[in-house]
Amino acid sequence: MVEVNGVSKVFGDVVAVSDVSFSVRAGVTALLGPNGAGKSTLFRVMCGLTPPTKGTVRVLGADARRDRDVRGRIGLAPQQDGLFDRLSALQFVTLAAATEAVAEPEPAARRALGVVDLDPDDSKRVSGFSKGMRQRVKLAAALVHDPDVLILDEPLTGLDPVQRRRMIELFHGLGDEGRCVLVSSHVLEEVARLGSRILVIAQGRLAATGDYRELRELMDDRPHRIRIAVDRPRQFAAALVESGTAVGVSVGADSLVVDTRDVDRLGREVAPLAQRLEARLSRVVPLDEDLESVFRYLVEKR
Amino acid sequence: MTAPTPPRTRRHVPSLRAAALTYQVLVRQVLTPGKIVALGALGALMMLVGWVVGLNAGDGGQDAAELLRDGAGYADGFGLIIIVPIVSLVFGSSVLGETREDGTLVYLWLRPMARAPVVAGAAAAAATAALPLTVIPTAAGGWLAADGVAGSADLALGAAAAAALGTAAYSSLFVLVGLLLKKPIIWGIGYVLLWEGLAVGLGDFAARLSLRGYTRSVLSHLGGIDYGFDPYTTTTALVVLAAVSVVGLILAAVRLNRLDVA
Repeated sequence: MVEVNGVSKVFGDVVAVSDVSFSVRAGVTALLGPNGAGKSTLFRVMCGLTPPTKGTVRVLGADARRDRDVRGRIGLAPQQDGLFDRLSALQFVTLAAATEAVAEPEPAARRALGVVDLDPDDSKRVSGFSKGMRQRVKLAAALVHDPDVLILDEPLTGLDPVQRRRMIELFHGLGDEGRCVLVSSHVLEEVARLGSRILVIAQGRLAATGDYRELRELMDDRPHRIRIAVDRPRQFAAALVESGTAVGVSVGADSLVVDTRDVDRLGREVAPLAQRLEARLSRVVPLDEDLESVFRYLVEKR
Repeated sequence: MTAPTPPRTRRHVPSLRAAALTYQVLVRQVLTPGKIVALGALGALMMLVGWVVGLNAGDGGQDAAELLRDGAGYADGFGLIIIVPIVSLVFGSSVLGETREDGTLVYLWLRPMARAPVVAGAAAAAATAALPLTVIPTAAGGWLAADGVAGSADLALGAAAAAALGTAAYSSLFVLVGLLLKKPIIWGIGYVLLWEGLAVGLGDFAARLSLRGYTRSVLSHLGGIDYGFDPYTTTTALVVLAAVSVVGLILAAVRLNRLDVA
């Protein structure tokens, strides 16, 4: 349903997307990447909002930038928060339905707002809505015309856990109906629940694609970096290397940084080792638990 | 939870409907209290000064024809040169320009609608917002400055027509500017002051490239006043002002189609 071939997008000196190729079929596909990785730019290119510098994008066989028909078959919930602030939710989604050529815009808008758990009769302007409510207004506007392709840029941001679960169920329902649902996120745990097919994007490049479980294994397999603050760092480092727990160590005056492939084992060994060496252990801090490091690992490894 | 019941859809929005929908939403967006108060105050100032000028009219022993010329000069100098372009600039440049800045343009862009009706609806929204704030002060200011002498009603009519046509042309032009440039207000004020304000004095060719000569011609001819600076016939002025409006819209539609939308 969506074909991306060799797409690059450059803004001045900044390469936002670099030579990305993939295809997406019906069902839910998650686009995972840290902030600034190029997810939103890729979505904008797919929707035709900005032309690619290089490469081609086909949505339902056509270029959305040129083909009016295809534009009417895409539902986009953009990441930016802007809405027509002087309208109520019902007015906003009714406008979306009307501009999507829905024959009976208001009933369709009422249905869509109901699906995202918003009250269609709430006359408050959307400018007074919370972040989560605005997100759901955007989702209703993206769904209202029953699109074949749904592109949802960080749609779960600002939602509470119950709403997140309900929206994820909704996305799966839409995917099961044969629609292509593309959802971006920078949160690994969200993606775990979104679907089995994942595209990982980092630094504008496609770092990995495939099943979530494969990806998880790949990430679990990466070396972890831990800082251990201890008063006998040299002896500690030697013992960890000797036991095979550490695959790399750098030693400082009052701490050491350990690279390990088995972080659980390291966790089990640290306290007994300190006891055995009669060393004073003050802190154990993971240095690479942030998503950025996970993506960096994926990019460098592939 | 289930997906919404599939509504029946046509795949295109007809042009008139697209223009009407765009107009409907943007006229509400563009008319903010701050703009209404600031621009309304400018119009009120014009009427107040016109009233003061009218109170002192005739002190120098001018006849009715001279008073009418003074009134027309005031409607031209304050209304057509300052109020009409400035008010049109504020509404015209922001009507799509602000949607581009705040990210709401995507809700009109990624739609099965042609670009031209979207631009036409936006320009109509800008002109609707601007017209009361340009036509009333220009017409009333001219009438007050002429002290309501015989012929002032015609003067007011001519001033109203010139202001309305000028507003339409400038709005169209500034919709384009709002899509082309960042900080369109600064560029627009530069254009209004430097080009429209000075061009008429730079010679015939420069004057032909400014809108001011055409709007003042409409004021002069439709107001029935021997103004002394009406270089074009009514037909020429009307055709040029209409042409500027249409060409502005066409170029804006082309620009909208090629735009990078956030």
